[in-house]
Amino acid sequence: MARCEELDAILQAQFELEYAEPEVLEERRRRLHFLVDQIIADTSLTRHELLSALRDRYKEYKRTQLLAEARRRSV
Amino acid sequence: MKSWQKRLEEPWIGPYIASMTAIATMPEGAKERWRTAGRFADVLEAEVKTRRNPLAARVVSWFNLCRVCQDLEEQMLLAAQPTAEDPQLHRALLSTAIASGEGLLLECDDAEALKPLRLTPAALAAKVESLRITFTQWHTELKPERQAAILKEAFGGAV
Repeated sequence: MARCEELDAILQAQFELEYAEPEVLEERRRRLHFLVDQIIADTSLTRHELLSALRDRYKEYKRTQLLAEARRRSV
Repeated sequence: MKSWQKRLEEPWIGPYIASMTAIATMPEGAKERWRTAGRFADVLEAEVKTRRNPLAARVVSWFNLCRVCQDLEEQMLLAAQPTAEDPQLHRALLSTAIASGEGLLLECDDAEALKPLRLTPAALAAKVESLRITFTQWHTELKPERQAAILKEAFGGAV
């Protein structure tokens, strides 16, 4: 997976954890951990540091998703 | 004073939380959001803490409290001009939700109590972790140079 795709996958996984139904919360957390751990392997970074650094990217990702959902609902 | 208002004045909330006297200087729309969200949050937080209620009912109230935080966050992301007070309210409500969630986790020794909700203690912990990530991303400081260095170390020059 290319690095940009890995970044997108992390943003998507965080979004899916945030909006997860109760029965899939654990699975969504495992998925996010798996993707983040892949990226930080062989670096000095922690999960917390990486997710913190993705703050702006995630807000923009989430905003895009919310706008798309609003558009879908208005059609 | 309501409990969520008290929380705003607790020293650990940090320097970004203004005292409630700041409400007096807010635009009317922002004031109304504070009042409404604060009232909801206060009721829900009280429900979460009422130990005579079944644990499952308290967990449902907690999820509703989380939804209030999320709704405010969505408003901030989509608003053309979010008010300066919105992040303060978000921070206070999110702090409340995290603290309440941690409290529920301490009481979740009986996994059977959560089964009607299709939940497990681990799932509850996952939700609390999601709130913590949100708190970090919205309300902690990160120098731009450090942020750039982390992204470079993680993704190289690709992003």
